[in-house]
Amino acid sequence: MDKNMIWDTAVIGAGPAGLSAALAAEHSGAQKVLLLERDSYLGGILPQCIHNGFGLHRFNEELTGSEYAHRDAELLANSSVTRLLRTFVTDIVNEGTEVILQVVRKGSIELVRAHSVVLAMGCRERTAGAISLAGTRPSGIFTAGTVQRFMNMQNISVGNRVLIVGSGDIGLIMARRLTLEGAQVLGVTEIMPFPGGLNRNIHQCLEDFNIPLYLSTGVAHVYGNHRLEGAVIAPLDDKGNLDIKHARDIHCDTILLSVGLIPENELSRRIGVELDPRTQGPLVNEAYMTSVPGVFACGNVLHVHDVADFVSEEAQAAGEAAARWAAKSRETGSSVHVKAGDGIRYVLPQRIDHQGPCTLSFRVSSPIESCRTTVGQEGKTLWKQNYIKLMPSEMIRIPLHIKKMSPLEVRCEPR
Amino acid sequence: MELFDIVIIGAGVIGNAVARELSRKNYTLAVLDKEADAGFGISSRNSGVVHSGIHYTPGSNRAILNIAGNAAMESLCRDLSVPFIRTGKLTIAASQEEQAALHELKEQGEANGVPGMEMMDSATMDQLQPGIAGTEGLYTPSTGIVNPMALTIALAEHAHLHGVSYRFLHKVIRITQVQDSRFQIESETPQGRSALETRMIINCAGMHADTIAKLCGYHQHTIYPCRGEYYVLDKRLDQSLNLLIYPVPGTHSSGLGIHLTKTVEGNILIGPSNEYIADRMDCSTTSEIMEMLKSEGKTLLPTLVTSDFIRSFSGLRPKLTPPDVGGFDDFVIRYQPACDSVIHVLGIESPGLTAAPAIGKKVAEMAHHILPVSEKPWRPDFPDIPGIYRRPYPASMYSLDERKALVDQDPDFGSIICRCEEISLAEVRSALKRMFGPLTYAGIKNRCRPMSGRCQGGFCMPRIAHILNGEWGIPHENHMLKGPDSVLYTGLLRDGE
Amino acid sequence: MSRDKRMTCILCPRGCTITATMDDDAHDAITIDGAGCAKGNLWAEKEVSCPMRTLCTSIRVTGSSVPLVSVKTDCEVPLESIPEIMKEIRSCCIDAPVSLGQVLMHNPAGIPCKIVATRSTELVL
Repeated sequence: MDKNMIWDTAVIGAGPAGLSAALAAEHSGAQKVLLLERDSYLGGILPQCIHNGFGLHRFNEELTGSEYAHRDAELLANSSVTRLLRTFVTDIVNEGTEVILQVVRKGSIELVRAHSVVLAMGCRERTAGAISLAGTRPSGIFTAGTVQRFMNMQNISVGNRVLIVGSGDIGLIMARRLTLEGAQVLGVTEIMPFPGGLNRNIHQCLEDFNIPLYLSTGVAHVYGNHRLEGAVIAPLDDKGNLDIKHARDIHCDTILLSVGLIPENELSRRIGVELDPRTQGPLVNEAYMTSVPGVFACGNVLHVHDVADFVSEEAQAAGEAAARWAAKSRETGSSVHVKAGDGIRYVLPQRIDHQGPCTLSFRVSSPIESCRTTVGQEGKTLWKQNYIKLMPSEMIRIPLHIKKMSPLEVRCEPR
Repeated sequence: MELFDIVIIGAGVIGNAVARELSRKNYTLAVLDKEADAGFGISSRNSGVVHSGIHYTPGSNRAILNIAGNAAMESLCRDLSVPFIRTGKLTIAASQEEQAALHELKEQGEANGVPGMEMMDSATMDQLQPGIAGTEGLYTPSTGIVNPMALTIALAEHAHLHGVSYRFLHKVIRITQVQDSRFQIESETPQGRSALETRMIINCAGMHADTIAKLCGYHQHTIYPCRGEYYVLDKRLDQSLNLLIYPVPGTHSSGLGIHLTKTVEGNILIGPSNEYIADRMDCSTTSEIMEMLKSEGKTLLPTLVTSDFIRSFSGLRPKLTPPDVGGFDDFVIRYQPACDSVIHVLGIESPGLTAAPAIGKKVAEMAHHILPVSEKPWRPDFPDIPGIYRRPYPASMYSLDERKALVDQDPDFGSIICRCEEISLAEVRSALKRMFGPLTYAGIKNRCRPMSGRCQGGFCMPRIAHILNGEWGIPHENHMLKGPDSVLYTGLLRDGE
Repeated sequence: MSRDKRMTCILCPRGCTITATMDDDAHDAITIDGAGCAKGNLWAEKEVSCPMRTLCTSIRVTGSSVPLVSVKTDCEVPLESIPEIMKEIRSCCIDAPVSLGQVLMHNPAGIPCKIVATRSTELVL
């Protein structure tokens, strides 16, 4: 690569977020867009998501993850975006009006300069260590997404008698996948009283195959010195401790962990991006710009999504804004705070810098039936909607037009 | 039947240190271990601290060998390309009673010959580690940290380089004295029984040293396993700890108290707990202790968040003092009574890692006294071999220019396969080439660190599977974590050409 | 007598809870309640009599840089027929190249549907 080249926009990660951001940046006038991807193919996690349920919102048809990725990859092939596969960004620094990336790939380590950067690194799975899984350390304990890759990309099967710990969507999808491939899925445990994944996945991945879901249940310990031999699971008592008297011994040779996703913000930290402890992603404004000017974030690195379509939508806005920034179209204004009020776990963006269109994304703190969600400003209601039921697994997105620069608050209350 | 001059039982840090010292001379040597690789027992399960020597009774083996081991560690690690950092350590008193104990520790350290000790007031301590609590501290500049896996493996590889034969997956089940004062050692292996003969036996079997001693007819000692749980924290917090910080140990404690240490690569460790257990193979972690370590950790490092806890593990100490006695007994390093061709090295708990170089020398001298032979050509370090990466740290921890130079040598230093630790394909290949026993994932991890970062293999494991299958032709159903009993995969999802 | 069957609609991420009230001796629903859209009503009616699903899985491919090609049924198939279809898919092996949308199998296990590729892969020589 030309050392003196300054890219308009560099996008880190070519999953659904990075693909949309790169394409949107190009459409918004960025001449030189660089897309950096550490895997050997485009699409991030999508190609290993061979199940359907993608694209309903964006394309109005039901696609598999691989088909969804294919559409963006085709668009990219017909664009002027420069893509580098098998390429890692290992460091990122802010130098005034430019951002410098350290880019590592086979045969080269170089520094790349860009006017604006879109962080689209996605997320990683929480591990056994993060959930303090007690017991031995045998083979046979995997995260669900890793097994998804083993099975769907590498043709490797990992076990026969499987317990799934955590009811995140990947775990549910893998319960069905393993069952279809002849493994015995002995159950899914969930520490919370409600499932972590979408309701429809409970129906079509567990109920279809009579796989038991143990809510309010944790793993007391796992055992087996070499290969996993089993796990003792127990329900939670009133105080939230494991009730060992009602423990149950599950003889399994494999555990899949689906216990949450962590936005992968190591690079964001390197460049000094401020993070929100609730989302574990950057604090952003309505254009998805982080606390570091010229650095934008979208997709699962920003907050964990459940629907890829919304990732693409969000990334499009981030990519457009990154292109505008590179073109030096930079208005500065005063910031107002967007507050996650009663019943709301988090809301994005956390701040608004400019008047105009803005999409708020939020999740409720816990399952709530028959509720009303509102967005308020200066005591007035800008938006309201009634819901029969809302789950934390479901992200709500509402388009707004901000006319006044004063703080907003999102709330969700019983009707 | 094969005949060796000396057989060492146990390929832990002690067995390998002994093997390396003996490899300077014209012995035929073999090391037997029941595991698939060097250091799969207790040697890889500790905090990696190279102790100063303040804690041990003057004149004891522990005191003498710790001081000597600490002094030898720096040049040994330089020779073997093992990461070692002299961080220094503060032992902190929080009360007047503890202050008194602290002064006693200093006196003991002086008697042992610990260099450079200093008492510090809280203001001076605060300069070393801002925000530190405590009324007075004892600073020991000679305390350091080493990567215990790297040290154990490098000692083995270096011994192997000088002709020591390693027999992994050999579990010794019978030892008999045969004619000409030779011994026959029978082992269980995956291929069935195997036997060899030797003139001398050195028992460095760690947690199982008493079992091996009994097989030799020496029934004097019993090992009591004592477990300590640790948490490994994300490297993000590397900057939060400038040196090692310990509380003043309680007089009846069997450990040194829960504390923070850091690894040479920059992970902070919280631990260890200290608990006698029944099963000497039980490396489990427990919910109660993990919760305790988590809350201790959050007190010691207020910015800790849940995602910073990346892994827990248990270390095991082979103690010679039973639970009702507690405390510490001295290392036992001796000829077997009435049979001086057998040397026992027993009860090497903390500071065994620190003392290892000195124990190696001492035991080699003891063996040489019984079976004197001539010296042979020997180099203290490793030769440069194309395709073998042998530097203390992963390539990613060096400067941009140094990394560029590596990429110029081999483009695959730029092919990253581990996102957390930024380990390259070139380094994984090198680790595989360095292994002279079975190829295991844990062996790769211990040699070059993939699967030890914050994602714990979520990213790199599928890539390692690809390398082992593609470049080494190992079918997936034979991929193993630690040995033949810990296979990782059941095979192919779909057969077919 | 009538009885209620509660289910979660799988048509979109909303996952409406739908209650179908059924006659004891009939398999069809009398009333459907709780669906957020008309499609949901139709889905629930079908769900109580004969649940239908799109099957997504993969097929072994040779001559490619990847060992598997992901596939799906081109239409919904009866849930109960899925194990039979899987059996045929598992024993099937195809040659690269494969392009997205390509029909790889017809009427597996006698079920009227096609198995189509959901990704492309090139021939590697």
